[in-house]
Amino acid sequence: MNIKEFIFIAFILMVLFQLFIPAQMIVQRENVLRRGTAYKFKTAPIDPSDPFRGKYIDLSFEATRFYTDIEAWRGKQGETVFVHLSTDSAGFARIQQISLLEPATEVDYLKAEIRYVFKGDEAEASHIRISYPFDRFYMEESKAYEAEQVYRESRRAGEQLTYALVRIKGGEAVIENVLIDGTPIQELVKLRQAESH
Amino acid sequence: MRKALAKALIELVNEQVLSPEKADEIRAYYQAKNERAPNRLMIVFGILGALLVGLGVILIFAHNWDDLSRSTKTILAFVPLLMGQLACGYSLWKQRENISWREGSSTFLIFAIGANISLISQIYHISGSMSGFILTWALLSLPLVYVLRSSMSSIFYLIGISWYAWEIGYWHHSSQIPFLYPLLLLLVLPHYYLLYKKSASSNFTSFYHWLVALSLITVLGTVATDHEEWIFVAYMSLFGILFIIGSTRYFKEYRSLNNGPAILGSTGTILLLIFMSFHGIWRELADNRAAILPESLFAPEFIIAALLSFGAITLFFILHRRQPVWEPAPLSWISILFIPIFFTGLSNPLTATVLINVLLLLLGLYHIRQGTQKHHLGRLNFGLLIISTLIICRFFDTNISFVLRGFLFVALGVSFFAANYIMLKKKSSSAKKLS
Repeated sequence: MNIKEFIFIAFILMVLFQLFIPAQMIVQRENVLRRGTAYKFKTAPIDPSDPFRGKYIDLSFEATRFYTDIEAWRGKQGETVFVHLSTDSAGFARIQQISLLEPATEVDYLKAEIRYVFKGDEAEASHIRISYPFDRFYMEESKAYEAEQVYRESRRAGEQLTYALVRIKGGEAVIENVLIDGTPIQELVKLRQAESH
Repeated sequence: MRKALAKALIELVNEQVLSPEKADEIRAYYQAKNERAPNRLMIVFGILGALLVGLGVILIFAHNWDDLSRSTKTILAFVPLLMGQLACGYSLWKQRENISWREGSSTFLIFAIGANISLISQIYHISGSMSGFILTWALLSLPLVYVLRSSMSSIFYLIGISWYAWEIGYWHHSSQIPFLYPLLLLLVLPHYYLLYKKSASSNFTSFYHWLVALSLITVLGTVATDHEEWIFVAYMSLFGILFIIGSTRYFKEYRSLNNGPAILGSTGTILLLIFMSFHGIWRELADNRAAILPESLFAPEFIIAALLSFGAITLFFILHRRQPVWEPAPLSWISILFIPIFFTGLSNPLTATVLINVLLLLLGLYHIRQGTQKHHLGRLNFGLLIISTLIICRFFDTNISFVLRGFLFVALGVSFFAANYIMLKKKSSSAKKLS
C-alpha cells in the first residue's frame, strides 16, 4: 500500500467521521421526536442571544421542584439524575419521583441535573430543584423578540397558558414546540407582525 | 527588499566594487528565485477568501429560517459540509502541491463543520454547553491537520482546544480543571514535530512556537482551584522552561521577535518576580500557610507545580552539560532559585520579599553591565528598566516622603539619560577610531 492509497483511505475515514457525528446527533433526536411520549411543561420564557447558534428563547419551567427529605441528597448539586414524570389534573407534566439510577420499570423519565438542594425553612419545605436539558427554543432573531412581547402580554392578560411540548423516550428529551394557549408561538408572532403592518 | 537590493547593486557598480556582469548575474539569480517561490499573496488571499465565505455561511445560517421543515433544514445543514469535503478531496487529488488549495479548502471545511453542528443544535434545540460545542468542532477538524497537511487547520485546532480549556477552567459557572487538554494537545504534537523537522526556520513554525507557548501559559491558570498558592511556583517553572528552551541554539537562530518561548519566558519571569516583590503578597501566603502544607500534597496545583519544577530543574542541568548548545543565563537561574525562596516565604515572608528584590536588582545590574561591556544599547536600557520598575514598585510599598520620592524619580530619569548619552558617545568615538 503506497502513500497515495494510504491518504485516500485516511481521507475517506475523515469524511465518514465528520458526517457520522452530526448524523448521530440527528438520528438520536429524530427517534425521540417521532416515537416519544409528549409531555407539556409549563414555562415562562425570556430572551438572550448566543452568537454562534442563532437566537433562542430561554425557557424556565414551573415543574422543577421536588419536595422531599433532602438528607440523602446533600452535596449532590450538579449531578445527573433521572426524573420520573406524570401528569397533573390539568394535563401538565409534574415530577413524580427522582432517582440516581436509571429506572427499570415502564415509567416515562428523562435525564436532568440537580440545580440545588434546598434545606427548608419556615417559608418553604425542603426540596430539590431540577434543571431540564431543554432550556432553549431557537427562533429567527426578529421573531425571538416579538415572541417575548407576545408572552409578556399574555401574562398581563392573566389567564393564558404557555407551555413547551417535549417528547420523551428512553431518558432522552427533545423539545418540539412552545405553545401559548394551544397555538405555536411562531404563528402568534406571525399574526402579530401581520397585524402591525 | 528587492528595491533595496537594486539600489545597492547600482551603488556598488558605480563605486566599482562590483563588475556590471556580476551585478547582472545577481539580478538574474534573484529574479529566478522569485519566480520559483509560490506566490505568497495568492495563498493569503486564498485563506482569507475561504475564511470570509465560511463566516458568511455561518452568519446566514444562524438566521435560522423557521418556515422550512425540519428535514429541509437538516439537508441544508449538510450542504456546506459536503461542499467543503469535496473541495478538500479535490485539493488532495488534483492540486496536491498547491498550498493555497489545501489551506483554502481545509479552512472552508473547518467553518462548514462549525456551521453544521451549530445548525443541527438550532434545529433540534439542543442546549449543550459552549465547551462541548468547541470540543466537538475541534475534534472533527483535527483530521484535516494530518490528511491535508494543513497548517491553518492546526492553528484553528490549537485555538480551539485552548478555548475549550478556558471555557471549562475560567468561564463556566463551576470552573473545573480541563483534564482533557493535555491529551488534546498531544494529538497535534506529531504535526508540531514534523513542522520542526521539515521547516524549522520558516516564519510559520516560529508563529506556531508562539501559539503553543501562549496556549500553555493561558491554560495553566485553570488548574488554580482550592490551593491557588502553588500556582506561582507552577508559573515560574513554566516560564523557566520556556526561557530555557528559547535560549537553545535552535531558537537563538530566530530573529529575536520570532523567538516566542524566550520572549514569553523572560517577560513572564520578570513580571512574576515584580509581582512577588511586594511584601503584601508574601504575608498573605504566609497567613495561609496552615492551609497550605499538609493537605496540599495531593492538590492538582501542587502536583502540576512539582512536575513543572522538576522539568525545569532537569532541563537546566541536562543542558548545562551541553555548554555550546546553551549557556545558563541568569534568568534561568532565577526561575530555579524561586522554588526554595517560595518555601522560605511560607514561614518567613520578609526574607522572601528581600530575596526577590535582591534578585531583581542583581538581574538589572547584570544587564546594565552586559550592555555597557558589549556596547548594546538595548540591554543597557533593559537593565535600567528593571531597576526603575523595582524602585517605582517600592514607592507604592513603603512610606517614603513625597519629596524624597520626587528626588528619586528625577535621579532615575537623569541616570537613564546619562547612561544612554555616555554609551552613545562611546560608540561614536570607537567608530571614529575604526575609520
